[in-house]
Amino acid sequence: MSDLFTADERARFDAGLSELLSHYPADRKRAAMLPVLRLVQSLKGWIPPEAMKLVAEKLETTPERVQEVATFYVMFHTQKPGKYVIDVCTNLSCSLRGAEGMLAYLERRLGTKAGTNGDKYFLRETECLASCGTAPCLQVNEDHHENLDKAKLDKLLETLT
Amino acid sequence: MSEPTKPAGAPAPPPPGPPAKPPPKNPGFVTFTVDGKEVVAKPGTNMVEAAKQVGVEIPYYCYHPRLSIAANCRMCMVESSGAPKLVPACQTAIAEGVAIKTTTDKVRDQQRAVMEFLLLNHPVDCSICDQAGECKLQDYYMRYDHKPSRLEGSKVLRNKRKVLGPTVVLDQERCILCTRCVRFMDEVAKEPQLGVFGRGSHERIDVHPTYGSLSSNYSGNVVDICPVGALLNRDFRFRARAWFLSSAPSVCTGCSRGCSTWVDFMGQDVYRYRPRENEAINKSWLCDQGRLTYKALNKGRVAQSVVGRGQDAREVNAAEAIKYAALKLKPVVGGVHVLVSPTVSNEGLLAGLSLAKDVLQAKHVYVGGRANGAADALLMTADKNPNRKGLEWIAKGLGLELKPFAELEGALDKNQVKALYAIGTAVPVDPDAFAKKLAGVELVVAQATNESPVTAQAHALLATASHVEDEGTFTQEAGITQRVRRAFPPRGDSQPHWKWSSGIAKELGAAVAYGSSREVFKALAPSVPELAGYEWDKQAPIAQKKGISTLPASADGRPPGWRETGVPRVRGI
Amino acid sequence: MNVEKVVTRNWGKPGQNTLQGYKQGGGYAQLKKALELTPDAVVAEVKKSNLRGRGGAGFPTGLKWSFVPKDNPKPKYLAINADESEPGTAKDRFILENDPHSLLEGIGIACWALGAHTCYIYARGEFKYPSAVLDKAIAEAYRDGIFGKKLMGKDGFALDVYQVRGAGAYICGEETALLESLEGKKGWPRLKPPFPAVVGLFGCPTVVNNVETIASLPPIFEKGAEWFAKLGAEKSGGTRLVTLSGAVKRPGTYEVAMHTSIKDLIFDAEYGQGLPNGRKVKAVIPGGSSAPVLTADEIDVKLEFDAFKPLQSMAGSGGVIVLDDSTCAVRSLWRVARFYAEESCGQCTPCREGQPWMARLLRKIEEGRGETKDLETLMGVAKSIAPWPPIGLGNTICALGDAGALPVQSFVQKFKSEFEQHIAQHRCPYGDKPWGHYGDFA
Repeated sequence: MSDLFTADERARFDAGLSELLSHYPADRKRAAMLPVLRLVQSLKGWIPPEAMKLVAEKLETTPERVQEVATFYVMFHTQKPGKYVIDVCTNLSCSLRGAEGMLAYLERRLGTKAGTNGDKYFLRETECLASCGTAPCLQVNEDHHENLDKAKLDKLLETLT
Repeated sequence: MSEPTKPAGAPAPPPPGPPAKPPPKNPGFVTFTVDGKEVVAKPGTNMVEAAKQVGVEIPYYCYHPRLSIAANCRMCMVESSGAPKLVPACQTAIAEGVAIKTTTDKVRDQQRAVMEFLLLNHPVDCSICDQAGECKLQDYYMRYDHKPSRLEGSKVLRNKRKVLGPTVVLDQERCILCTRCVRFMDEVAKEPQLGVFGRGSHERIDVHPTYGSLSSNYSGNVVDICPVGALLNRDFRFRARAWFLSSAPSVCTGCSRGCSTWVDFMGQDVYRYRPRENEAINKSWLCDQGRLTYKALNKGRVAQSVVGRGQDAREVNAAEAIKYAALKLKPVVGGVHVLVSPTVSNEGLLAGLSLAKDVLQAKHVYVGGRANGAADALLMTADKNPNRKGLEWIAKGLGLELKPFAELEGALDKNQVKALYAIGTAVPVDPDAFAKKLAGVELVVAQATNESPVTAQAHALLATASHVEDEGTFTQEAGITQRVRRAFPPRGDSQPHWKWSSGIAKELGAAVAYGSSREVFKALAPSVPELAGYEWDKQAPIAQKKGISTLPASADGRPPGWRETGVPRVRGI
Repeated sequence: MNVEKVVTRNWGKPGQNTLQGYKQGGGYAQLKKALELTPDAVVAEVKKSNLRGRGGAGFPTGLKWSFVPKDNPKPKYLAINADESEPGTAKDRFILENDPHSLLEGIGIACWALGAHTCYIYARGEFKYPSAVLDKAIAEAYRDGIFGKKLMGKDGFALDVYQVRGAGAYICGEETALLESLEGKKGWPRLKPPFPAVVGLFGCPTVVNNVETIASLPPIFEKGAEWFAKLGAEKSGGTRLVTLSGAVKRPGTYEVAMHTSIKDLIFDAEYGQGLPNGRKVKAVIPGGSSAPVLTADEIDVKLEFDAFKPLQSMAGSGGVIVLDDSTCAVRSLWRVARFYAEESCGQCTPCREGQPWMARLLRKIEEGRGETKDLETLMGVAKSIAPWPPIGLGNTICALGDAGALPVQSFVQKFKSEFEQHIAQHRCPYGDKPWGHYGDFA
């Protein structure tokens, strides 16, 4: 457990945890599960097993319950993702505005296949990102980009170093 | 998506106020009909249980009367006059005047659809599945579906043999995600070691990949409640096909809780224990430790009586053994120390202690039995002896004093014991050390079911039948007396405790008026106030099922399906 | 087509997403006004306004509030559903981005009416920017003494408002799944009854309302319930936010009157401005992708909640998706089906197994491997999950089953020849351009 966090990370985790726990009734610590896992992921980039154990202890539940949540929600990574997680919406509204082409273009440009986790890129198809009127769209590490075309996308890709 | 209920077909929220209800037909109860048959039930009863009352079976997978309602399998959907769409019978409480229909086309279509959905990603590997023969998928497929699969192409692949813990192995492909096991571990065992991981069609039951292990002492129950072949007992796996096994109602003799069991056997071999429903004692559960105590019924048994010790030892038949024991006991009557084990049935104790008191003229007996062990919050008790209560009652009723085992050891240490008569040879101390103390005793007559260092010291070792080999009763710690049924005849040349005791008594000239355990109870129980009123015949549970015996198992001594190479081993197990 | 704006009335005003800007436009005066009324009077006012839930079901908001038992001694909760993820819908996100304080003021009014002292806003995990704006707004409100120990300085009435972010699960927009998620569990919808108004968050009475619904409260109290009711149609008060997407010249999120028809929305100069040259409407999904599809002949229908009943469809969450006549219906449906297969929570059998099966069959047909019997199987599977029409007969625990099964049945029924064409020709008739006029990425 000691090597899970650096001293700085540990301090941020503890501070974040006590703030989050204050949002819920004292006997409902488990309710802080999603925010706490988000906190862990913001510190580590993913949710390692040791963190699940730690979270389980802090929220007075079991690692199984943490694992259930961590594997249910797609934004939680139980495996270390690439540096850039690129979520491309390919749902109907986006596909009607060229999302399938955009995904193919990204696959070519990044030299990866959707759904494969690499060191640098984790490109994946995701479901509707609420940009239907501003399609097509994608998110890079949760930063939202919409109304994309080739020129805009190229420019965006240049920033991913 | 957003907000309250999902866009499509949002279930209507509750009405603003309850409409005026007509008065109930049977005040205090709810009256309604199931397939036209009128049922009267307590308020709050769900439709599945209510339908059972009139013999209507509503099929289900996820429902279990002792677990919370999940309503996730959707197999129990029925038509109800109180709802526009099909309702899950397990979740829905009956209401006054409602008419439930369980056999309409709509219901049949739903049952068939659910069967098809469940079998969609199921491997259908029944031929190598232990659950075959007692599988709800098989049973319901034959009854409610019976159609070929319409799925083409591959199925979702998952882990086929994942060892979850010391007792249980999981085949995730066979799992139908009814979550009974997860709910059991949460709600009954209170050790939430299982979870449903992932989402949608890729989700699976598992323990935590890094920290998890299904190590609970109650993990075996998830195998029992698994409606399909996903969770299997590692001890039973690949050892027998369910339909060859016969079952007899019995009790677990692993501790003083005395859980009701089914003994599943083939020929004279026991293959497993399963919990038998008993609201007062074990509900529907059994602990893993108790589950494995069946092994002593098969292994290390004393099958043939032996007289003489060491080099003089020779195997004899029962009649000879009795003669020998009586001959040796006769000169020492009045000076025999008696050791009795609280693992012996009431009938064995009644006959044995009668012999001790009336014939051998003992004033007290020493209590042997197994040493105390771990207890837990649910079922398992520290006292590992199934019939201590019975022993206490009987000794008191017959006027015998019970003395602790340590006093016998003390007497042995002081060389005060010349002759010992042991009814059961379990001892609460190291058997090797105790056996050494017996070496100097001039006469040891021992009735034993299993070989041990103690039995090796006997001058007359009387091969004794186990509790599944004779009718009898056991009294558990809370004073509940339970009848056990005979599963199969005594192994080898063994015979029940009472038969040895009565044989010796007769040989020593006493008048013995019983020739069966039933008669033992009838003759001797009246002197024990606690047992006097027990209705021995009426309390006998009705035997469950007979296995399909293709050939008498004893014909060549091998169970059906036996292969020369033995039981197949699987990698990783 | 001029319509009086309600929810979007202040969008785009400089500083509107800050407390200062919001207050300059008269912000939080309505909360003050509401606090002078009794809670019952507030509920009555909302009932009078004919405000209906904007999340999809269109359930009357005042009625929903009145289900909260008054004699229950447990704390009461308000949960705001900002888990907007129905494909085709993008409106709540813009409320959070443009006018977060209107939501917060509405929360104050609602909590006063309900007697709730804690409100959780469950926002989609993917909403990084909207969540940041909202967080800032909440902090401002606390700093200004609006929230905290005394709601707007009201003695004895504390209100705490917290934002909780989801983590990527469509199902958490279902109100009981949302509550499970708020309790820190995976989003498996609960069995109903009991309904959340009686047994909700942490076992306490809970009301779950959509962002747009609650953000409509300040205008209602500003201009009166009668005004709001009159603005709308017969039983649906106010205006509504709709998202127009797909094959139109000007897609986007618009506030429209209840009597605006889908046809107007698509063709009006103020809204969609019609289809690109030479293209005709082939199909319109009227209320998020779970709503049964409409053909070109059926689009002269008002965007009001009850108007869709005769068409066996629904106004849903206001996501209007337009398919032009060069779009492949099979591929479109496959995309929709794939979504529900991915997002099925896996709790109950028909949805867990049926949705992926439908997606698989559709892919097979689209890729030219289809057989005649597949269409029958497809319809059979959909019917087993939730027969249609009418809407609302699903066999699953929650309505996600219906949401996946209705599009399949409506598409196959209304565009059957196209499915048969795919099967007969062993290929997609649209070749490698199945996505219509705007379907290329350039």
